[in-house]
Amino acid sequence: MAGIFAYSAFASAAPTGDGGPVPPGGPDKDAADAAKAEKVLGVVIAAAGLAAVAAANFGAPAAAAVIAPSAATLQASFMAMPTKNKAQIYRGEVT
Amino acid sequence: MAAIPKGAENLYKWVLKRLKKELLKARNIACGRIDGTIAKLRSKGAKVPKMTGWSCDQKIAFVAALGPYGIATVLAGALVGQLATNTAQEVARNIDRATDAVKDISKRLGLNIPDVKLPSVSLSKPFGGISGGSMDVEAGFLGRSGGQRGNFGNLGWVDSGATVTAARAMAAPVTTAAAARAAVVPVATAVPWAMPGVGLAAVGGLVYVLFSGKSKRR
Repeated sequence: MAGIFAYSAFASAAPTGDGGPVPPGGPDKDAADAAKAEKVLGVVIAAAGLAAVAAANFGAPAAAAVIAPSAATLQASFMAMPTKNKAQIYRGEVT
Repeated sequence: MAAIPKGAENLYKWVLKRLKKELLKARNIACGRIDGTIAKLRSKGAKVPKMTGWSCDQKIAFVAALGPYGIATVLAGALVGQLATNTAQEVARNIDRATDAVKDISKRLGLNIPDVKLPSVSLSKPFGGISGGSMDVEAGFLGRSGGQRGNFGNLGWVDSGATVTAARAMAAPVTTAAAARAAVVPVATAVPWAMPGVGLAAVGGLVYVLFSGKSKRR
């Protein structure tokens, strides 16, 4: 809840031309965060994939068979995202 | 232990949420396929629970618990059930379809279903009826023999009342595996029950050793 308030306050305080929030560091901050996100994405997806397979209550091989292509698609779609969106995810502004 | 950066944690949550959504989607598809196969098997004469009101998780857990040999048993029951009325060609086609569907479910659930050896069916003439007797498939799986009605556990699943060559052909691999499974299950069931007894005996032994030693010293 606090996050939502923080986000809404942040969004209303600094409108931009396209309506999105500008982080305190500006576009440079976005680029830096996006770069960090891209750097750790592979490891994060592998860890999340393992956790999802372990949590699935149907057979692990079946869960892995579902996760593997999904993880690849997810990675590709994340990489194709605009820098600002990647940065927002990295900062936890988008869940 | 190094702290995980907050950013990586946020990213992890974002990825995990989406992967879980994919898993949920796959589970719903598996659930739908189970429904379809159960309906198909029922229509072919196998007595399988309708699963009405069961949750998706319950259905998957049930099929997973049933295992490939249980599934093969149901298939054999379905085959026997329809022999009386259908032509050989129809039987062969239906069983092929049902086998494919079951294999598909098994794959999705991570079960390693063996190749169910289908009986060789003559496509030129219809079956001339069925003969009476017990059904080896269930007998092997459950350690229960004889009778017109084969029971799958307490569920009364397969109601065939017939022994046919085809069922026997399917029964052989099922029976062997079932015998091994039947031997394992009682042991697996007995172990947790035996554990308190073992613990009690150990404590009793310890007390005995302590006290007997003490009395000897006196």
